[in-house]
Amino acid sequence: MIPFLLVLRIRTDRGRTIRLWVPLILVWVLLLPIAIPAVIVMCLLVVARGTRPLRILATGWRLLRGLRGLVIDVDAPDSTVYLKII
Amino acid sequence: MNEQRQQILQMLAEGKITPQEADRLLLALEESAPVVVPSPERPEGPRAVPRYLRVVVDDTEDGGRATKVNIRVPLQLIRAGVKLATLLPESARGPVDRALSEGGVPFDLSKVKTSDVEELIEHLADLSVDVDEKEGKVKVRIFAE
Repeated sequence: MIPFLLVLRIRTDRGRTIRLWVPLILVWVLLLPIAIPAVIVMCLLVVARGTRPLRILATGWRLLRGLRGLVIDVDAPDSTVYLKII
Repeated sequence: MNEQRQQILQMLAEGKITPQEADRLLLALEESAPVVVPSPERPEGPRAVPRYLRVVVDDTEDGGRATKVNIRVPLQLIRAGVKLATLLPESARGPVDRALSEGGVPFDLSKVKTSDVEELIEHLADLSVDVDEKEGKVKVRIFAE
């Protein structure tokens, strides 16, 4: 399944903390009007180069699904960054 | 007590062999029998395929508050990344292979197979890199889970 939530937490050296919960499902829906024409153009270009577009689409889909579970947690003395893709 | 041991002891009891001969026979029996010791480290059953690659860094070199890094990368992402690399067109693959060779990694992207990647991921379960530098002030751990 593709990721549906992005959790981001950033603490700067000035003590400010930014917390973001981004519902990726909405982002995918909002990007659809741009993504569909982009995919069509990409498929045409790829076919012109002799590669199968379905393989590229399938790989792109796997790449998107693979993002689920990614965690980056950096806790430094002056700043903290926490990113989690669910 | 198995049959062979019983026979040897029976022969000793009947006086057919001397105690020394019985002792030699029993020793030979023990040496010939295969000894199976189950490994306590790896339980029996199918080997679990790792799902994430973890990198954990603990740096207390500065003396003050430590810097900690904890990264968890899903292996699905690595699989998809390798597949994407194999889809590169010939015109792009050449410069990439050249750049890798110049960097000391003679790698041919066109020869990467899905089965090789799966085998690599399966063996990542045994991967464990532990680095302890500067008298324990910097610790790096890389493992798959």
